[in-house]
Amino acid sequence: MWRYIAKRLLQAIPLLLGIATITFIVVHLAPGDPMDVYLEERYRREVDPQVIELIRRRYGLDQPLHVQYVRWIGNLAQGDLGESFRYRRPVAGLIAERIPYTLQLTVLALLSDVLLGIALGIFAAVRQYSTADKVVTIGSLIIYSIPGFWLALMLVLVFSVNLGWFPTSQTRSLDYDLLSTGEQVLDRLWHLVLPVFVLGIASAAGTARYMRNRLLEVLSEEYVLAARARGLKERAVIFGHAVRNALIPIVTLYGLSLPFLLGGAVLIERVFAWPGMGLLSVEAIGARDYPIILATTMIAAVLVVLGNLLADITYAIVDPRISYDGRKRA
Amino acid sequence: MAGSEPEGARPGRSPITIAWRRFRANRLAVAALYIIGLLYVLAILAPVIAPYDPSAIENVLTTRYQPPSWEHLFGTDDFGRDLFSRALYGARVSLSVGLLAMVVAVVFGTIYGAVAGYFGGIIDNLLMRLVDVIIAFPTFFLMLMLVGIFEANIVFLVLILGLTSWTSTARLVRGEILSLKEREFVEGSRAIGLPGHLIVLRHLIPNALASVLVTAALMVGGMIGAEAGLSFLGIGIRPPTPSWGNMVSAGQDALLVAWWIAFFPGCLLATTILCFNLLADGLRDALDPKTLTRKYV
Repeated sequence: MWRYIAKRLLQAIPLLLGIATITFIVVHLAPGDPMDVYLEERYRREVDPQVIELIRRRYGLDQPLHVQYVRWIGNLAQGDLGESFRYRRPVAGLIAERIPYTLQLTVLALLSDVLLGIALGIFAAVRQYSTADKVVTIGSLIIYSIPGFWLALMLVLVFSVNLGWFPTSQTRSLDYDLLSTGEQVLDRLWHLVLPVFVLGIASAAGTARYMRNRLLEVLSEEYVLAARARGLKERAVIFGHAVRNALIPIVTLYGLSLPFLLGGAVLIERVFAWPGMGLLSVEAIGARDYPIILATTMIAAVLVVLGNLLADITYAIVDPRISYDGRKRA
Repeated sequence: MAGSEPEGARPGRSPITIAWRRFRANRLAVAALYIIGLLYVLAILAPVIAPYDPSAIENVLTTRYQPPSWEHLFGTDDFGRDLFSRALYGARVSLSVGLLAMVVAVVFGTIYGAVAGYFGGIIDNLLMRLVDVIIAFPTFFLMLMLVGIFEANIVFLVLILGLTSWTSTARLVRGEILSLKEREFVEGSRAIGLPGHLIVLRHLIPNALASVLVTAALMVGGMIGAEAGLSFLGIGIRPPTPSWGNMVSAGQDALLVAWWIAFFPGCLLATTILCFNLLADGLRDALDPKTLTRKYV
């Protein structure tokens, strides 16, 4: 087991190096001089060229590209993500500030996705071809097809603007500091309802469809037939045998959602002005804040690689048919 | 279906005819196909149908923020422009970007996967390692970075969307080719001396196309959604060129005074994406040989 994990981690190193290289090349292919970003363009002409030269040197921008590349990779390996042009602060600190906000959102969304999606999937599968099944399958396809950012806007329109039940955006009310601790918690949760709902329901729709199809596949397996033949109650067959086996590939699906957990949901964060990682990246792209763009891209990529690894490992744990060296034990 | 006879077993019927019959039996998928066709026709005929010039601004004070009416089906926006006309012209952008980006992704992915699968060995290994690297980027994030950094125009946007989304097709085609090339009819063509590129083009790719078709339908919906998302963030299609995504974005700023600005383009987006998903579902059921055996044998 540990050998398998170590092997996979070693394999991840060249992969990450490749990702870092591509990211670096893409960002440096971009038109324009980073100095134009650093000093807003209108000031650019007024600034003493010697000062510009100093700043360039400070950020290592006077070096040839390959030197910059080696230095960047070296810093990256040591966990140094550089300094933001726009905020003039270390990128690591900026990201650390945003992560809690993103986590609140994504963890709750993932939780509702798991609970709702799997339950609906089972519900539909055991009633295959019934009206309830059709409602779930078609309903989930519809929700799955609606762009999340638009659904968010429409919910804001109905529940915030017209009914006034929930806040339109932000993470807390203006009078937050005046509230007692209990009220503060409630205030935060109150602001989380709509964004979590939109994120959760969209992914739950996908999960429900997947779970339904998996469970139907499993229900036609011979061991389910055998369980029924032994006279087990339908409930025991479904939950004791079928669901457990249908859940195995779902585990993989959730391993792959790791990048979402920390990367946040760019579009939804934008709609609700939620100061998470997604909004940070969009703002950085808009402002051409290269150190932040490089850092968030690398973090996202590392999370994808880790997510894959995590999925494979949990897969091997929950499915005893798979052995760590990749052979099927059968 | 009037099928008391097993469809697949009848001689003289091409797989395409069989698949088409099976597809036609799926009423939802057929309806989706018609709606998609209608939307494309409307988009093509936009200059004929549109009641107003999509960028015409007359007297802003009297014509802005008018709610939907017979005169302005979708209402007017903050500049007093007719939103129905803008939605029609926006359809041209959104629908063609989605379709073209899919074509780029599918063609590139198919060729890439076919080359990797057919040649195998070192070439396959190298090509697929590159796929691993690209897959490690979250796709939307990669699009965001590329489109944002290069301030893409429409052509560039299509290329970026397409060239960040071909990896799944490449994997799919490679897998199909790997299993196909061991089959007798391929061995046969090799035995009669057919050159490699002809085997790939004439025998391998056509046989892998069924599953590619399903992915392609799914992908158009995904691409339209991605373009809308990017335009919503203000970095895809930029105003004044209308696209459904940037129309929703404009509607967000005016949500309190004019709900209809964001409402209608979003409905169109959802309908289009839903139809492509239904179409993909129908194609999958019609083309999947597994459901064939389950139903007819």
